[in-house]
Amino acid sequence: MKYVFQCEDSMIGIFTGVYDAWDSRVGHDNVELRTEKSENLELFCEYIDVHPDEKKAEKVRRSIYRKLGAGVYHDITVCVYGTFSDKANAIYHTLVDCLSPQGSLYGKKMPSGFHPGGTGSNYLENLCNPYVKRVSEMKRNIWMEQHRMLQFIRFRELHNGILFAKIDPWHNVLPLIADHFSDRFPLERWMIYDGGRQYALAHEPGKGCLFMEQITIREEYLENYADVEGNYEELWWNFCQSIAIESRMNRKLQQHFVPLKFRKNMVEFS
Amino acid sequence: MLIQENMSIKEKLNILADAAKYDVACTSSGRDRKNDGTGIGSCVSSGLCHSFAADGRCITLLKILFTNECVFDCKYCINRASNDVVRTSFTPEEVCRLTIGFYRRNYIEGLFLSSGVLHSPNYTMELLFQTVYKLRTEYHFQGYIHLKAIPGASQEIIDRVGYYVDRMSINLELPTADGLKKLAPHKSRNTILRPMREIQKKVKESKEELIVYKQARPFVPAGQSTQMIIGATGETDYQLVQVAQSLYRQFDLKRVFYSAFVNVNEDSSLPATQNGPPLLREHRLYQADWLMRFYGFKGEELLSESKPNFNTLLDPKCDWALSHLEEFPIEVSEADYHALLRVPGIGPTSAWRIVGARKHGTLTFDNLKKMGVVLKRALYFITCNGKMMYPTKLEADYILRNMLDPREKLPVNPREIKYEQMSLFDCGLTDENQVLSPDPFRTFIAQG
Repeated sequence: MKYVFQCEDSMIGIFTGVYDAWDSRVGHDNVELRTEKSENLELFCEYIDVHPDEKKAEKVRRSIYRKLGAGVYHDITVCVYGTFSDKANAIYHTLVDCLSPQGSLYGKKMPSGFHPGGTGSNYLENLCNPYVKRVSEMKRNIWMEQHRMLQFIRFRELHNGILFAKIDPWHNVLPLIADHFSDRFPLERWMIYDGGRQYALAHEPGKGCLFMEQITIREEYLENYADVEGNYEELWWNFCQSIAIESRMNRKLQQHFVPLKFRKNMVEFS
Repeated sequence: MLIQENMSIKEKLNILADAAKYDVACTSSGRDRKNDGTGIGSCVSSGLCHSFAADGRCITLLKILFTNECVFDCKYCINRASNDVVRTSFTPEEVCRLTIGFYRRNYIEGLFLSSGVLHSPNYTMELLFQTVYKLRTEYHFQGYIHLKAIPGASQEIIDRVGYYVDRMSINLELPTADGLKKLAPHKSRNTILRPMREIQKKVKESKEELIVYKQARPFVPAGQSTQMIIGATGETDYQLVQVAQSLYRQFDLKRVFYSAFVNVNEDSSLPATQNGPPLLREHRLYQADWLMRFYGFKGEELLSESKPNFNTLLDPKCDWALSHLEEFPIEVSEADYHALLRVPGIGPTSAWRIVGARKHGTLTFDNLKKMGVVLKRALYFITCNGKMMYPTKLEADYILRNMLDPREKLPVNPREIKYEQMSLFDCGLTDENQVLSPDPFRTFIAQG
């Protein structure tokens, strides 16, 4: 008999799912977590809907942080923002590997240290376990996109002085890039808009950064750029042209570093 | 010399960015700094590349010359005094406005400021100091600044400017003193290495001071780097690697950059480069550089007097492994981190993962593959639980032959051989391209 826990696609939803599944005592191997409603029902399978509960989620969150350390906590929370259908299941079974008496890391000290791959204090190392492997893979994938956003976001100054950037990321990276840009531009008013999900991140000097859902922005409002904006875009476009050395041309390498999907919001590729 | 007044900022940027493009360094790494809430900008220690040019090189910093007027006459440089090119200069104000304008739009990570020598090294260095000072104090810029020190500038100015920048660099240009005398008559070993040594001393002092006074301003916190031109004079790879190694050891440099020589001046004292810049040679040098910095290799291990140049067909690590087969095969489940690093196909990340994962269970080749080990290179040199992946021979010729196979055919396991009906294509009636152009790798092996 298989038990499928269907949880909401959010941090609270997934962590509540982890709590309920663990608490159900049906055996870790018989549990599967899903964040999407299944279209087809399977035989010999029980479907359980999980209602997001902040208290349960907080308990899970706290024990991950306390027992597994900041590094693993970071990896797991980053995974929650991904667009992967198996993320909840991978997170659950990774926690089983680390925390349950059947797991390989039960009772052992979590490894810590700085490693050349860039993981922070504590890290997941039992990569022979497919779920642990999957979590570290997802984390790397999401973190890569987050990094690409830090690189390739292009702000445009609107007539009212707001710096505005539109992005179309695959994962929900807005919460992951908020700190970086708040720290970098503390005295600016800026907004980053996730066009696909209609989420937005808005920053006001002195008041911090706000994450908003279900935001629609009128196109004509955005067409209204500041006067200097065109100048700077032209200067930047020219700069990117003149910095390349003709005898070393290598478009393939360029495309490796800036994949085409990121280019539509970038000034120098327009 | 054409000096034009009243140029627009766009024309100036075009000329001065074009003139700066032969400088290689464009990194923003080595410094983590949060914004203190009073200005604009921060630094990320891993570095952030904001764009990539059509030649595949990153655009991290606003890389410009302050002026392309120059009294020096270095033979390889496009801005040399004897060249007839349009000359222009920025003002400190213009550089600051451009930097802030680009930075606010997240185009760049900071400023890379270099310069031709206007009037004298001291005069130019003073201008650069004013620019950087203005950017830091008036515009409250807290992003990354990389400044070139002008060879021959007085120590006093360099000491002053070091507190306002993150990284400084002085280009070594040519690895030998003879080459420098021949191609860059106004520069000397002394005017390059002396300030490098001074900066190194100041950085050390500043670090000690920071331990005592947390609030002290750090001096060149991201360290210094340098750059060498590859292929303009006749030195061997062995000499280059030796020079780079001694720079890392004796001058505490963070990076040595190699720049394949691009012939822009057609000067009689310069070699002709008909096949374009020596990019493969540059690539091999960077590979060796990484081996020295992250893999624990020494320059003497990779090359020697009797074998002064890198193999063009194999990367330096494979080349080393093939000539040191007595150290292989290495048992993946027992060997320590440093031994694993020496295996071709295993790098710092995958070595670390192996060391972590094997504590919790036995590894298989499939696990290794998923951890990012490049098995097509590593399989000849490792055993996993006492077994090799395929029954391969530990002979240099055999491994070389298989590694160089352009189709990357893996050795056939005799137990898995299947017998098939022969088809027309097996008799050599393959597609035309293959028949017409004999494979360069195969001819190389046939010749020896």
